[in-house]
Amino acid sequence: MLDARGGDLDEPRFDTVFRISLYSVRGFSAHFPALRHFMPNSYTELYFPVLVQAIIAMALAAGLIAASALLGKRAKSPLKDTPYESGMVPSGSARERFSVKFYLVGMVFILFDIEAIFLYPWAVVYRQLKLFGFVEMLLFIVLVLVGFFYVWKKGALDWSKPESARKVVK
Amino acid sequence: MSLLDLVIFLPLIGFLALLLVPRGAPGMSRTAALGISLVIFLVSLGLLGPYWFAQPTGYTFSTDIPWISTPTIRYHVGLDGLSLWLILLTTLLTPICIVISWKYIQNRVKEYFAFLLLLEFGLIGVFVALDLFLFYVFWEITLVPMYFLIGIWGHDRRIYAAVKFFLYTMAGSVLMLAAMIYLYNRSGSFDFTIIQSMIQTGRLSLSWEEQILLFLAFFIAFAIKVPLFPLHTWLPDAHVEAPTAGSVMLASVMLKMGCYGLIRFCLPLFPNAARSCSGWINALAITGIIYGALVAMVQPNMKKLVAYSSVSHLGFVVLGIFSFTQQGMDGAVYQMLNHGISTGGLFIMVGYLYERRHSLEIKSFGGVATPAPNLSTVFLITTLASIGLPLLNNFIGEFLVLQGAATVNFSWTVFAAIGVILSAVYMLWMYQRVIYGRATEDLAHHMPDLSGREWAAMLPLLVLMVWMGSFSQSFLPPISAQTAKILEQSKVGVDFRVSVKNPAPVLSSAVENKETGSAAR
Amino acid sequence: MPLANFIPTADDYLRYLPEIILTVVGVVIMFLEAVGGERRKPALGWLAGAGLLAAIWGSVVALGVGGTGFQNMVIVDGFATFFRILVLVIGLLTIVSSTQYLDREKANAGEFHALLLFSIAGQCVMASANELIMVFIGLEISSIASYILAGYLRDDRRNNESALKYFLLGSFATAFLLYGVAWVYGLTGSTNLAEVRRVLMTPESAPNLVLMGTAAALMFVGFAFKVSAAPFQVWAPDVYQGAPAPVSAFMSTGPKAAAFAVFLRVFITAFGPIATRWEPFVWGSAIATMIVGNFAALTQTNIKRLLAYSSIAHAGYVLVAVTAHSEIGTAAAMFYLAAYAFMQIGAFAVVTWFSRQGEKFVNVDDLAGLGERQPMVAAMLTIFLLSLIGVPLTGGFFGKFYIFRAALDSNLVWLTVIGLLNSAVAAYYYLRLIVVMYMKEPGAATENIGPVSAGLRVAILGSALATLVLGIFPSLVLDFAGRSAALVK
Repeated sequence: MLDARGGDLDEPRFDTVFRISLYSVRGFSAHFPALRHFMPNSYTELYFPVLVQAIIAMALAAGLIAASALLGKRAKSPLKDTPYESGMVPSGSARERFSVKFYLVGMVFILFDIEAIFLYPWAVVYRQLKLFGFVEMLLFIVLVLVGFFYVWKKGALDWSKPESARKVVK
Repeated sequence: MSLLDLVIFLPLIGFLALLLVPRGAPGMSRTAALGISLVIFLVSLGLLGPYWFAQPTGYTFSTDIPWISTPTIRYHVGLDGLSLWLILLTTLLTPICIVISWKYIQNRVKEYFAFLLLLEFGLIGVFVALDLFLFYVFWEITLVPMYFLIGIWGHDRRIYAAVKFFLYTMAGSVLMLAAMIYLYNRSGSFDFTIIQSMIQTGRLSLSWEEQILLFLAFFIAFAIKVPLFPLHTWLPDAHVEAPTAGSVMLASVMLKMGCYGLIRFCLPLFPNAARSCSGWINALAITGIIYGALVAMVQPNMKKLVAYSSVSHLGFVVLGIFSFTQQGMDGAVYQMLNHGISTGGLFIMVGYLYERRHSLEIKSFGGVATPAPNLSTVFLITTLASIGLPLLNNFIGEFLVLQGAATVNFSWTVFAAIGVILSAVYMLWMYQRVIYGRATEDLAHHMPDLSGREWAAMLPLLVLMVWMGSFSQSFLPPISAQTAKILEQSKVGVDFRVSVKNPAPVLSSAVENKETGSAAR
Repeated sequence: MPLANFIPTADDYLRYLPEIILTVVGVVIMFLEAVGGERRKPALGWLAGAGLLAAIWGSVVALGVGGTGFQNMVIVDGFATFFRILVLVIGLLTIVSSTQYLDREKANAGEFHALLLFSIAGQCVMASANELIMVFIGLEISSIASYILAGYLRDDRRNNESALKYFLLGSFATAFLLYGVAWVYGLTGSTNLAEVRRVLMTPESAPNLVLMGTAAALMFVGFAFKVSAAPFQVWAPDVYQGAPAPVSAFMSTGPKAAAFAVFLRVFITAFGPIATRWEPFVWGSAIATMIVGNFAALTQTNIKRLLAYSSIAHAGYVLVAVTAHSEIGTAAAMFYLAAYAFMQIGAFAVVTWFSRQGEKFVNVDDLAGLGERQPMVAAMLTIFLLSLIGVPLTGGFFGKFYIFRAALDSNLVWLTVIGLLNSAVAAYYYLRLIVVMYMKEPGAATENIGPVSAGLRVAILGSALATLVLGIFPSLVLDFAGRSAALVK
């Protein structure tokens, strides 16, 4: 099977829906040469089916939702609007407030965690980079350390210190 | 560094010096301003030198030094017969304005006089700049001090008037800037003399559309400033609200910037477009003459009346310019000076009356002649000069314009002459209502006659009114020499109809043949 | 390519000297902020200033080395150096003009200066980026720091609103930008600007123009957000109004200048071959930006908001220069951004001083009588406003002049006419400030204003001087801009 520019398409790679839309486009452009004008080269031909597929998918999803909304019966009751808690009767509101400290610790954790991940690729190529790699990573660690030090001094790690004793930016 | 550069930059130096005067010493800033402006006037008299016995053809006192390298902008200034008298008018009126504001301005005195000097700097620059860009710079500089003069020291609706004045002028001038840049991109120079010679010799051939659009961009900027009907609406507001000195500078010199621009730039740069638009422009000018006169007639406010009379008088100037005749152009330039002297005088007189009664309404006067005979006499001479009584200055200008217009199209003259008659009607009617009649008790007590200071301000103008009216030959030769040149330049044009198709331009001889041919058909 | 090739040379570090200096000084300030006492805090401002001066010296050194570095990721040419020095000078002015503000709000902390340095470092990265990835990294460094700066007074509700809006919309914009980068990479196989250009120029390998146009459009969305160009300008007024005045001054000049630098570099270098495709869109955006900015500013009563809308309008003028996509257009944009930075920072510096604690006085009417009570400051503000209008002998005038000259040179006649008429409209709202200052009776707000602090004085006088010098001797800057405007090598 040849594509519009004469190249060989690797057919088995495509799933059925894709192939159908691909053939339909080909068929169209064979019957309506003017269409080629809108698809000047292989890129468009190649990706146009994706578009068709996306449209079909969206239409299907929208159609299903619309069909269930139109055809389905509705029975409203207050019970149906309550949160689902494994069939139990809900106890209390779901919107509970957490101490802001959890977020702070969470953020600090993620930050330093991600910084640490950078060590892995560095370790892989460490031998090739030699001294340069060592110095660069040293700088990186120092920067992270300064950040850590800053966080520490600012009291972000103190869980129980009273608010007034914090050194914070006003 | 020529004498002209000195005349240009002395006001700027004066402006900066005045800013250094302490705020608490208004007397000192008055004296300093008057001193500086008188020195400038005396120095500027030196500019008469080359024109005393001969009529130099080119530019005198010219300086041409680079200012900005990319794009090439040069500080190129020069003096010719056209700008000579306008500069002398500016330098003469500035000290007069300072004298008439001597007592009237009591609030922020230093700034007031500083702005007057800055205004003088801009105005002189406009009249001598030979680089288009430099011209634009000076043109815009004049806006700022005038804006403040109206806005700070004006009357009740001063803010509205000041902003309107600024926006009108700005809107026009940005179009002019666009046209200048376009010309630069086509010709590679901002230098007026270079562009002019390129156009004249055909090295720069603009298509018909380009010519018309560029001409209109320049023309609208200038027409707003002149002001030409129907772009005049800022003028009555600005005049009425400005302090006396502001009105005087505005009417006498600033409006001339527009007329000057028309003669200096519009005609030589775009002769074909100017000529083919001249019919429409003259129609507008004549409409302005009659409209201004009619509106002036019904004004209850003296200043507004004088302002509308300006619209009317400047219509004559435009008519003269676009008649493309030697007399018409001479008359137009002469009329520019006349209007500066006589309308300036009128504004000063109205200002004197205002200082005595704190009103500009005609109906709050009447019978001024009895308590203040000298004032009434001076006012009469000024009024008659403005009407155009023979032997006074306006007569010469209007006569020349009408004569020039008549050789082209007699009906223009007929209609424009109606304006002359109407001007007599509204001026004399105002004079009669203000000066004659029975003075009320209140008025008689608050109408002192002219003081020595007030005489000093008016006397030079009175002398000039008579001098210019009776010995016009002491002023006209430099003007005629220059207008003849401009007329010649605006005749010589590249024939656009040929150059559109053919890159090699055809010069004037061919054009004239064609034009006479087409006229015959 | 063997990995050893990626080891930078000594010259590479020299090419990156300003960024290195800024980062080091910023980190040191953060460290000192954490360990130092309350009393030493003013010294951190001096340190930051010294760091910026050192970075200016560093950019000169970097220009001396010149060329591309770090495997073609970075380019140090005149264009990059111009913008580096511009954002560094903007940073200096911001630091001196923020001293009084920080003292007044009792918020003198090292973080302010450190964040400022980081933001500027990001802008320097943008200025010298030769890679779409570097563009993105620089943009993020610059933006994240300025998000925090916008909400610097964290107990202040307006600051919070400003920071949140800026952050949400800004990250949205960078996402668009990144998506565009991904498209470009997918279509051309490279993120290097010169390489992208080469691919687009080669007819055999040139990708589909529709897809390439989409990629350019996505990147345009990102840049347009950052420079507050219509239709992506809605965030600017809220953010500039809510943020601390010195920060607004900084945000409306520094990041904007840097964003225009990458905008020009990416669109002229990489997307130059498809200029005919993006030109109409930038054309439309330029017109919309000018009109929206100017007409919305007409009715504003809050000075900061008014300056924000004016800042949008000025972005529109620079877009005119981008639309011209010529060398003189680039030079004009460079000059304009420099001139604009001084007048905008100067105007904001006056607002910083005038608004007093808690920014109580930020209404246009509050300025009533300033001309009488504080003639010197009023005169300075007048200079800035006249420059914003574009009156000759100020930097703003020459900026506009060069831009419209470049536009006419590229035959964009309508764009020029609309732009110039817009600048006449703009005169109205700037004049309103002058009217209130000089022509209205003095009001309560101008009573008992404290003196202008030494730092603000330096900022205001320096900006005024720069505005006038750029207006009278524009060649000083323009010649350099003209020499370094050649982006396509």
